[in-house]
This record gives sequence, structure tokens and C-alpha cells, in this order.
Amino acid sequence: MVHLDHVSCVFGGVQALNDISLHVERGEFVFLTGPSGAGKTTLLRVLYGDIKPKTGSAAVAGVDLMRLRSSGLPALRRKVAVVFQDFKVLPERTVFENIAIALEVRGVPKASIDRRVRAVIRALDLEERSYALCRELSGGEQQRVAIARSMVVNPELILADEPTGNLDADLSRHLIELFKQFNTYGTTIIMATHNRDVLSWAPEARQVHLVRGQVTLPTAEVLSGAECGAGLLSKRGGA
Amino acid sequence: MSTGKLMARGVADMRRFPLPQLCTLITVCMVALLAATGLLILHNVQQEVLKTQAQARFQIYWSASSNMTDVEAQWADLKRVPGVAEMSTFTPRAAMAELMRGLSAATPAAPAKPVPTAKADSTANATAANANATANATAAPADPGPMLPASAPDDFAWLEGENILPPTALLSFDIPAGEAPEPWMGRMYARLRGLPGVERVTYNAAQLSLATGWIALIQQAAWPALGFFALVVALVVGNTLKLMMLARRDEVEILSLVGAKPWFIRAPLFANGVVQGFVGSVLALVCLKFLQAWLRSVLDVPPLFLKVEFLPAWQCFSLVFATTCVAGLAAFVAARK
Repeated sequence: MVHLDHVSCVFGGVQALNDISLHVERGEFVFLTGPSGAGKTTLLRVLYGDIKPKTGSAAVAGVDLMRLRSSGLPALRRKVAVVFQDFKVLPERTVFENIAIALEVRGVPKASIDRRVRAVIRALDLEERSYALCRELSGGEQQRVAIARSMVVNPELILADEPTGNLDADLSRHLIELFKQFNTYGTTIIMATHNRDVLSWAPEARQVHLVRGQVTLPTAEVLSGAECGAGLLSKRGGA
Repeated sequence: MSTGKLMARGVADMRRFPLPQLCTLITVCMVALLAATGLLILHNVQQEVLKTQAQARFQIYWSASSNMTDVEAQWADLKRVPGVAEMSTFTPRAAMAELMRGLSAATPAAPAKPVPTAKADSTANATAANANATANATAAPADPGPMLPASAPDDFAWLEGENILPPTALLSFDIPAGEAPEPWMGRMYARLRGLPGVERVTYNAAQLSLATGWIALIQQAAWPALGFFALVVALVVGNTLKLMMLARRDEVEILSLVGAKPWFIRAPLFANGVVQGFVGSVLALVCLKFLQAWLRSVLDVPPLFLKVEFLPAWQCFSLVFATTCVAGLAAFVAARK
């Protein structure tokens, strides 16, 4: 699903990614961990085509990122859904409209849009707020809308950049359960987080640790802080 | 989703950003009004020059000894010449009456008393009967006419009955479209000069040349002025719409993230710009109409008598079309990353 070989990326004059190699198979759940400024967000931006790597080779969902032109971006983003910490929902549109927009851009017929959006809204327990404007929702509800928008299109890969960063622990756990549920259906998930609790809620997930733009072995601190140490050790060689 | 639906969505979405939309609309309207006012001034200056000076005028003098019956027959024929806009004719008696009146009016300072107008009618011949009617009208109390010195008729009474003046006619022509003025006037001069009994023909070559020069200058200035206005409209409307798009940048970003193709993102914004441009320019024309009505009420009074006309339909259409296109294009370009 994701194949990065010796990828480097300079962003704002800083070597944001430095000779990274990462391979993620279809159906995997991967956490990107690391301190602030380690390059997690930059790596995700590379994966959804927002930044072009400077060197190396990179392919996501069969799309060669090194040769990706702006005209090919929509095709990539129809395979790769993104969830952000700050939700990125349209505050002046309803929950239904925010979710439906992802299907509308794909030209899905209206009847199908209605059916699929209602199903996702039900799954994310947003039925009562279907026609509320997003600016009227709580942070947790807005994040669920963002997740619903990414899931409704049944993407091959979901990239999540600190999706629980603005949520309390209960809600964060609930969202992780949602991601896990979609992962069991075969969707590949790569989630950036520096929240140890989040890591512990998905012990089966592989962890990729970034420091100063490079993939490294997790530090002892991370290992001891996470309840998922065994799982992590067993899979760390994948990065 | 079809382009039509995308456009409709763009228009419907305008209500989501009422304040930026309103500010943009006001800006578009004011800039379009500025351009339209410039056009209005150009148009009216040109119209005024055309109306007052762009006619070819020929003064024809027949021999003083000409038979008036023949001359009047020629006058009747001349009225039917294509392009004649106005014709004034003077029999020797009428010309004499006019001369006496003119000379009397030029005599300074004496206690004035009212006398009626003896000016030749522009469409009917100022024939002897006309002149007689003028003489008869002297006593008519209904129309006091202009104030003339009381002693004036007495001063030039000796001229009456002398018939020293020839029959004359003053013809104003609208030069046919596509004709160069000077060659056309030369041909018309030759034609008039060839009429039986005609002794002399004069025409306003210099005045027409001046008017033609003015019109050419205005027409030359019109295109740079139009270009300037178009540039101003394009820059202001374009930048204003770009600023307005900042209010929708999140939407553009999210659409891009979910895989929208460029046209899916741009079509609604293009529709938004088109509506802004259209409504703004139509509002500008409505404002211009009020401005024109006010200017007319202010300027169409003595001594100016300037009738400020509204823009012709093609200019109104061009203004709306250009503003709409520029606004649509600016919105389209603004949606680029």
C-alpha cells in the first residue's frame, strides 16, 4: 500500500524527512510516533500528495508520488482519506452535507449518497445531529464527522494526523475503536500520534518512530510507557 | 455532478458568506459605476459635438435678379435631396426684414420696446408672405418678442423696398455614413453651384473639419479610455474576488482533500464571480441612470441646455458583459492553489 525508499524532503529550509524507508502492507494499522517536529505530519503530507519528496522513491496505493502531477492528485485522494486534528469540516454546512461532499466529488448518484451517508451517520452515532450545522457540534462530534467523511468513501488508506489531539480520553478511545473496526474491514490506517494511551488502545498496531525526520527504534521511554510493548517489538523491523 | 448543478450550488452557497459577498458586490458596483460614468462623459461629449457641429452647411446665393418662381421651385427640389437635415430659405424681402432686424438689434442703448420675432422658419420658406406676416405681427399683443431699441425700425427704414439682397437658402446635411466629409462636400458644392441662377455657394469646411477632428480625437481617446476602465475593473474586481475567496479557502482545501477535480472546485466559484459581476454591473447602471437624470436636471437649463443622454444599449451591454466576464475569470483564477 505504501512504499517509501530513501525518501528525503526539505520543508521550509529544514530537512523534514531524512532518508526514510517505510513499507506498509494492505490492511495494516500503523502508528507514527515521535516528538513534535519529528516529521510525522510531513510524512503524512507526502503520503497524500501535498508535498513532493525531494529524493528517493515513493508510491501510495499504486500511485508513484515522484511522478505525480497536479492533475493526478484527485485520483490519489480518492484512494487515500485524511483525518486531521483540527477536523477540517465545513462549519456552515450540515453533518449530512459534510459527509456527502466526499461522495459528490466522485459523482456518486444521489440515492446512493443518501443511503451510504445515513449508514455512516448511524455507525458513528450522529443520527440526531444529521441536519445540524457543524459549527454547532462539539469537538468530538466534529471529529466524528471528519472520520465519517473519510470512511464513507471506503478508501484504501486512511491517514490520520493526531485525530484525538483535541478530544478527551473517552472520546479518543471511542474513535480508536472506530478506526480499528474499519481496519478489520481491510482499510489500511496510518495514524500519527504522540499519545501513549492511544498506542495502548491498539496494541496490535505497528509503531514507526520518527526522530528528526528519520525512522528510529523506539526509545525506552516509549517502550515502557506503552502497554503495547510486546506488539511493538515484534513488528518494529517493518519500518 | 453536472456543470449546471455545480454552478447552481455556487450561486446557492453565496448566502453562506453574506458579509464578504455584500462587500464584494458594493466594490464591483462602484468600480463599474466609475467606468460607466467615464463612458457616459465620453458618449455625451461625442453626441454634443456631433449634434452641434458635425453637419455640413451650405449657404446658396442666387442672383438678385432671379425669377422667384424658378427659385422657389428649386427650393422645393432641394428639400428632397437625400441627407438634407434642415433647410432655411430667404426671399429678398424676408432677407431684408431679417437684415433690418439684425441691424436694429445691433444698435446700442435706447429705451426698449417689444417687437415680435422675424426669424425664418427652419422648415418652411420665409417667403414674402412670411415676411408680410412678420410685418403684420408687429402690432400683435400676444407675443411681445425680444426687446429691441425703440428707435431701431426708424433707423433702417430707408432699406425697405430696395431689394438689394438675393434669394438665399441655408441647407444642413447629415453626411452619409461611410462618406469622407471633404470629398462629399466638394461634390455637393459642385452640384449646388451648378443650379440655374446660383451665383455663389459657401460652406462650413473649416467648422466641419474642426468637428471631424474633435470626433476623431474622441474616438481615438475612447479606446484607450475603455482599455483603462477595463483594466481598472479587472484589477479591482479581480483582487476583491480573490479576497472574498479567502472566506472559502477552507472549502477549497477540503474539496481538494476529498479528491475533487479542479472543475468541481472552480465551477461554483466561477458562478459566484459571474453573479457578482453581473449584479454589480447592473446595479452600477441603475445608479448611473439616477446620476444621468440628476445631471440632466442640473445641466439642461439656461444657458447650458446640455441634454445628458444615457449610454446606448450596446455600451450598457458591453459594460455588463465585460464586468461579468472579468469577475468570473477572477474567481476562477482565484480558486487555483
